[in-house]
Amino acid sequence: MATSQVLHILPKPSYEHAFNSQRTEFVTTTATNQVELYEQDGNGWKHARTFSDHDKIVTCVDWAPKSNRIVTCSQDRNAYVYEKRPDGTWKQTLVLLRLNRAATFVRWSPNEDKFAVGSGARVISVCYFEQENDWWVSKHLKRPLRSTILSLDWHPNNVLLAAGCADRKAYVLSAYVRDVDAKPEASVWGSRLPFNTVCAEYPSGGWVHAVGFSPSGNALAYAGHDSSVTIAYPSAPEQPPRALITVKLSQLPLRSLLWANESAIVAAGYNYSPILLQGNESGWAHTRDLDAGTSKTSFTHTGNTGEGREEEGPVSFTALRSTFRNMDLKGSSQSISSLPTVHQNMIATLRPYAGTPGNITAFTSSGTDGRVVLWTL
Amino acid sequence: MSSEARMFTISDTTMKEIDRFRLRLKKSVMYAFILKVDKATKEIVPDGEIMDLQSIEEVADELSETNPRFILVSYPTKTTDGRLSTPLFMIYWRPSATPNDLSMIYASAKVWFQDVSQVHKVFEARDSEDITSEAVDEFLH
Repeated sequence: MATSQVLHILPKPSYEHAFNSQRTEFVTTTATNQVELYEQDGNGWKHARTFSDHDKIVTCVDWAPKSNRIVTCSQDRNAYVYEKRPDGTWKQTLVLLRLNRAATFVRWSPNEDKFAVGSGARVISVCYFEQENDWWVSKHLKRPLRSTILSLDWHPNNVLLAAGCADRKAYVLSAYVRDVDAKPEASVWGSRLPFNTVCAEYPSGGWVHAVGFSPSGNALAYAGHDSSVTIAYPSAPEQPPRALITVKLSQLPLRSLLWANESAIVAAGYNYSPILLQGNESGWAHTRDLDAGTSKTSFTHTGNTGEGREEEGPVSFTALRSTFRNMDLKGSSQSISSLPTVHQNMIATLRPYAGTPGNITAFTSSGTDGRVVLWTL
Repeated sequence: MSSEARMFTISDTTMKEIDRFRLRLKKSVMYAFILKVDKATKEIVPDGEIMDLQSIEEVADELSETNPRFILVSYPTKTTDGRLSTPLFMIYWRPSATPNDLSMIYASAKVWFQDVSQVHKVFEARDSEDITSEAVDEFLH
């Protein structure tokens, strides 16, 4: 059974958080132009530093574990890379993304020599460091994106990039940069992969909020705003996929997903509670809720209508109604001040915390309630 | 001796590479040979080859959008009377986001390099969308 522990309650919503490799520090966006860094202090966490280089709301942040660099992107259409100096201060470098709309999402590549920034300009900026000029430069992935990019994930080979887009498609594109990458080995996604090769394009019933390559890189999962998760198993380049499995959920849509191992996915979103999906090429299913509080709220209500019915969700309508009725009729001040779930609002991000890719044993979540929660699988 | 000749150098090995590129042409396959100017030594050095191109647009995808390059292309095409010809031409890649010092270096190196490499057809491109099959075909005919 999964156990959870609230690590810290932030004063502001956190749409994205990221830990360093030792898990002793984390950064979070704050729904303002500032990014805040917290460090471990005994059993708790204390605010250590604020980065306020951006002019507008910071939309995403990512921490490269090996090179210990932080990248942030913002609605001011720029990105900053932060590097820690030996004296503990951080040196910021502005990266011109050459966008004309807000940057929405950022992720370091597995080798940490590139990062990709999604944007509202229907463009993904693939950025890499150019020794020759001593700066970060960007290349644009334009085709065939038709709307805002909501999420990105890198393939373990450092070349392929999955993008979840508001045009109701999930894409797999090549972000091969000649100056940085060695020729990638052939995989199910393709063998010849020049920049901007479109390796796959999968349909979804809504905006694609989250994408993720499986640990082996041979499957892609994505979550749409139609409360579905789809797992695609490609067969060969230019061929229809071997399997395209859609799991329809009876709850609110998901915002983030991560692969615990090759046959399990953890996902969370507007339903406040992380769920576990398990399966393989022949089928996937929602097997359990990881938040024990979720089950407490599904109870049978026998009201005036005389019908027993099951209500699902983090807080039931009937529970709320009876609270308000009690407050009104009996003057009872006992109200539901908190939900039975650990998270009190939408979960925006899931991040692996412990284990190796392919065998994640713990992960963290953060959301608009400002809670950063550690979950052990 | 022109001032460019004093400024830029090219090694014999690179010259041999260019000659080899020119001569070994498999007539039906498109190749690209990329060269750059070393900023410190002002030497023109190879910066990689792209074999078996399917179309000229692929060259554009490989280029940096902040660094100029000279790209020799062996380009199989049909002449107006239907014969196969494989002209060799150079793409002078000078993206609009080039820093000023680099554009100066490449601008002066271009004429000199054209002279030593004996490539006279030069196609200038400032944006990756300029490098299209149509534009190149029009340029060659």
